[in-house]
Amino acid sequence: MGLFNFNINASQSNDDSKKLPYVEIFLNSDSIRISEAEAKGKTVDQLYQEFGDSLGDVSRIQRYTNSGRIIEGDSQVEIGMSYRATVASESKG
Amino acid sequence: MTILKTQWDGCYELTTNSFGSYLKRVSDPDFNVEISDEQIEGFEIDGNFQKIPAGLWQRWIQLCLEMTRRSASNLEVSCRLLRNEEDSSQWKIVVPKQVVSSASVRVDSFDSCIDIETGEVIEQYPPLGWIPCGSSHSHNTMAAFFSGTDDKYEIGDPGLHVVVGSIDIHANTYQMKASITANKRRFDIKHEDVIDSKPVQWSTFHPEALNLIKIEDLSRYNNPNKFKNNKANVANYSNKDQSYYKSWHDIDEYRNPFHWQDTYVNGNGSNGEDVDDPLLSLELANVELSNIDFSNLSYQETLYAIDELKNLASNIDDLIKSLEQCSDYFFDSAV
Repeated sequence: MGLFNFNINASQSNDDSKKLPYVEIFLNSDSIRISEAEAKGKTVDQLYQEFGDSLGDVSRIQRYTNSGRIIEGDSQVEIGMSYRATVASESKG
Repeated sequence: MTILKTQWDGCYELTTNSFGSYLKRVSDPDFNVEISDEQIEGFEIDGNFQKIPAGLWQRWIQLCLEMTRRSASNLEVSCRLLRNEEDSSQWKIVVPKQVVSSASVRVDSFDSCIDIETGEVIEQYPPLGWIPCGSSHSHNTMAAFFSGTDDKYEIGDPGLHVVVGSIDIHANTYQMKASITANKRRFDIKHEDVIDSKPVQWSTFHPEALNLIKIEDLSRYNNPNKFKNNKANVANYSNKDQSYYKSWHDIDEYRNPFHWQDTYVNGNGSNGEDVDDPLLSLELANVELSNIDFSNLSYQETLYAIDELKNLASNIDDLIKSLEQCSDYFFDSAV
């Protein structure tokens, strides 16, 4: 334990994203937050394609959900909401 | 002087000399930490992480054992891992509808799954209230390792991914290799940190799970004679003597990268198909491909052929990397 013990005091931390309006996108249980300014006017699919690359292989996403409901990729995002995506197929060797 | 701070490529300073201007890399005046390679490459499991419970894991292991037992050629099988949205200590393992062979699993859609514990049929994946968080698959008697195909599908699918291998159905033993994938990277972890694998008596898979597992029907492809010959070759490989056979990467003892080739072609002894070796992976992919009649493909067969060709490309890539490692070794030795 303790691999990531960095001594950074709070004043040096510059993570303001939590305080601002945002949209959160999940791939499985991993997520990122996208600021209102960047998310506004975009569809769910656009959000994943533009910002989700660090989460995983967004080209394999088959389904989006919002609060358990399946939604279309071309739905407009709403600020303050969370969206989930999942891949739907796989191969193993 | 203004320091230019880029998003990903560090800091630069616009510098001028008697000929003109250029960008010079400089340290970030606001830097606040040094990060070691170990930290960059490491993964620390959350101290409060709730392991996959022993009873549930045992159900999955019993299915791996059963699929190894079912066919003389030993079969792979795969499952999906999920955690409860409200209570992440609650795990669920589902078995998707899949087509399996001795060296591959193909799942076209997770929308047809069986809960390994209850037998509940899941027709929409993920089931409401459950979050996909990884997968596991069996390598039957082969070693537990992540193949090129596994990398291709798991690295972009964040979560816990576990290979179960070296299954001995007589001794009821197996080995595991576990990893967490995130940020399109794979972090190797200790399986005991995430799975409670102590045996639990009477805990087994729901029998309905077997109904979703279809064994690859290679006879649907033409050219059966060729297949027979190749199958015989693969059988030879599986008979290689593992005590003599050494890992591809064990070049200290076997400096000639092709030394092992003679070993398993002559074959004498054990029952392990160690597909970690790129040439054998290549051969197995070739077996699959040689049974495809490219002049007469259905839609499903076309998809299968595409997948197999991609696997072959991945295996060729692995082989090139291994040969590069060997050439580096020879170069270092010569120096």
